[in-house]
Amino acid sequence: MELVIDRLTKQYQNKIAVDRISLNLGAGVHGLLGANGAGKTTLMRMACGILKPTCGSVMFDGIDVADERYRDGLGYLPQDFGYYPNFTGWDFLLYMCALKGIDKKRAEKRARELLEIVGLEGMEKKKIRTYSGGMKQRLGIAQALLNYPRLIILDEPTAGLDPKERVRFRNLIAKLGKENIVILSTHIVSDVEHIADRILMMKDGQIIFNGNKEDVGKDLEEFYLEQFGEVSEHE
Amino acid sequence: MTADGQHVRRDFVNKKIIEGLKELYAAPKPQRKDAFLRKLAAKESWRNSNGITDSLSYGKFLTGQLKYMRKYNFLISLVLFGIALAGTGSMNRDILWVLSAFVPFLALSAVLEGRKSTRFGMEELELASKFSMKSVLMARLMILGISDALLLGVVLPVMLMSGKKEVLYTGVYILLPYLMAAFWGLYLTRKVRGGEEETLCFLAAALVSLGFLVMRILDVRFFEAAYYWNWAAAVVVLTALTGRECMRLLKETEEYSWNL
Repeated sequence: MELVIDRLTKQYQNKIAVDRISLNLGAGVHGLLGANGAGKTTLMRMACGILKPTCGSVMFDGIDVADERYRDGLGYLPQDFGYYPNFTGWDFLLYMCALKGIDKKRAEKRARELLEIVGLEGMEKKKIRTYSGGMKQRLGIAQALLNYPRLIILDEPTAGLDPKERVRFRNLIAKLGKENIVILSTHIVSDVEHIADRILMMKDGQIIFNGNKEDVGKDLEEFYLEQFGEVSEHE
Repeated sequence: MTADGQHVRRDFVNKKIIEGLKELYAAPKPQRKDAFLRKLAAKESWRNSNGITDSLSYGKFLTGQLKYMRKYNFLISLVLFGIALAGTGSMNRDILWVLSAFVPFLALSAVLEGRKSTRFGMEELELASKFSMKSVLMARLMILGISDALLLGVVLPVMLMSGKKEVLYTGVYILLPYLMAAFWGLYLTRKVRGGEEETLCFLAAALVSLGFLVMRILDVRFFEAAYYWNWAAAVVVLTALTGRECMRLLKETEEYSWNL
């Protein structure tokens, strides 16, 4: 199982958002760290086939990102997502199941499993507009896992989660990372520190660090701040 | 050399060339075949153990989308076509003028239904799915188009059976404002982002509607038999333009570009 990103570039009129990034990612959790505007979300969107790259390619097990089969094995949680008015949590999951090509009987079974995993059982019949931010985020995580994806891309997944929910989420991601490729984009260092097998740091559209915790050799937050030219207040 | 002898020699040369080309361009032996087959088998086994099959066909997906469409779209169509039937039956031109004024809002509701994904922030999730946003949009436009075509298919034969050629005029009364509003609605939703497209589409529909109302008030003799072929030509042109906008919209859903 391998995600191959080859010289991926996204250029807008006078800015290069993603600058010739090449990565070979195998099974495991890959934490993508970077400040706001580093290009993380643009990279995630190109890896999901939502945004067309200026040049370069993305392939998962030899399947190009533009191929429908690529999206068949993809689970994606965007940074922000909406929902249709009057949708309950249940309606939302069943709708996403239909989009992922899962038939109704299996969809209901899978939706129930995931509601339990993310701690929303009993809340599925309530309208999403009554959900808190954390509940909505958990629903988003649930929809990303509906089709047993082998490539899971999560953009700022812990936003809005309280500490207990965050720990639960980390355990879930660590478990998923054992057999799948998980790319977790965040600017929260502790999320990456606890669960990532591989750490990628991104700045100005480029990958400035690609290694594991041992390669860092020190406190990850300190290392991160050094890379981005900031000094910790604790020094 | 006899003609036959020459013919035989040419065949022999061609055969040599063909054999030579085959040898030159022989397909290379497959590499890592076993590893590839093992990978395929593992993937199939994973899919089967998790109950993932290609069980949802595009047809089932299409009918599934029907459930998520707002029912008032179909209700508006029914009411307007009912009025069309009544107007043609009673030869009441006033009813048909009023119909012309309301039909742009039918087009508006169809356009907004088609663009629901963008309006409610679902586009990223839909773009990243197996049945992507393009499929969702196509399904919505097809369902709405088919439902309106079905109604037209009911209304027109009834009118034709009554032997009235006014059915053709009624078609122009319905199609012209519908296509005007649909074209502008699709164009604006493609060009405008940031939440203003809904307001602009509504304005476009309202202007088309107002235009036809004003023509009625001023007793402008547009839909007279003398000008019929002009308006039929306008319907054909607007159909082509609206169709082109639909195709452009579908193409654009293949990629979204976000402004930095």
